[in-house]
Amino acid sequence: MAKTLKTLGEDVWRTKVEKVNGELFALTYGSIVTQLCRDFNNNYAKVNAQLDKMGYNMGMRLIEEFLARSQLGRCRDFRDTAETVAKVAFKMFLNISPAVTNVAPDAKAFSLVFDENPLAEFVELPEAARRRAVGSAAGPVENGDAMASAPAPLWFSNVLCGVVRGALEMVQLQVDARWVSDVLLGDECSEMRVTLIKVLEDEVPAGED
Amino acid sequence: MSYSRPTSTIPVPRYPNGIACIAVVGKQNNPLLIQTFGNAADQELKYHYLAHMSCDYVDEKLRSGSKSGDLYLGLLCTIESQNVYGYMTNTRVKFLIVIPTTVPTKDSEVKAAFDVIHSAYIDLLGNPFYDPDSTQMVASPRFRVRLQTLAAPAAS
Repeated sequence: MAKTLKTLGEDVWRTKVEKVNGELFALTYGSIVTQLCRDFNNNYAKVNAQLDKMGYNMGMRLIEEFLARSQLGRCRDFRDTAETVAKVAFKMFLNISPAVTNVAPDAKAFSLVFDENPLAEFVELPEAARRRAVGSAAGPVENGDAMASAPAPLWFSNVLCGVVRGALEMVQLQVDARWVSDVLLGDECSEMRVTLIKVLEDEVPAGED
Repeated sequence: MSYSRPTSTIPVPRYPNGIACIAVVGKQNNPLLIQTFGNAADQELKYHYLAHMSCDYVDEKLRSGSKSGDLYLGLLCTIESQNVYGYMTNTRVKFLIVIPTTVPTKDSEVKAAFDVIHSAYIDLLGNPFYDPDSTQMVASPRFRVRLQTLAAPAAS
């Protein structure tokens, strides 16, 4: 099944997708992030939250295009979802194939490990953006005001977490997506953790006993 | 992704040995980076002064109107037994390489070195957090590391 998804992803990227210049794309996203930093006065927690919100709105819309171009049906279980997101979705929109790792034993969570990130092609974060407190969180920020004062690092590609969250919500999967490590912060790899919170419909969720 | 960069015509680039200093100077002749290497590491001030003086020579070269539009300006001057080579981008950012006169250096090697510096500078500009108009010195560690690698003695 995974092999088919990979081939599907590559085919869709090659044939059905219009391309844009990579430098232009990276510079555009870079200016969005730096402008947000200026607007929020370098309050990186707020910038992270805003990027997530933007991603969420994008993801809600991207899912339609994804389904139309990939012609995929329902995923059988959350593991299937993970493979689809990694091999087809990211391939189609960003031409990258993150690896699916750390699948939880009950298959309710997985990690995506990115070995390349076209959004962060030339980026070097300023010192202040790399500082992190213990347990600073990325992804959706519940209590915006309380988080605002805690020092947080800038999760540069946080828009991707929002996209994953928004897209999956449209197919009835409520998830939490957040970065746990990022090469821009000096970590070994960039890893996004996606956790299933609940399935949003009354009908029997696919794959559950 | 691959981008087109100015490449020297030499298939295997060899870089000059014994580079004492690389300087990057902004369009208003403000120093952006002055990095010394090897034995010269403790004489930063002297190289600041050298770089400043060399900018006058760059201006002179421009005024004497080399219509060729070549970015490489060649040997600008020799001060205190140091050869200063210059290179200016179309955006008026200047790169200077200082090599002691005792080191035999080929023009082609210097050009290859300038291409590397130019490439590194382009990548620096790609960083959205870098302000190209800033008059501050460049803080990017990655840029410095690339220059360091360039100036390290060539493993021949």
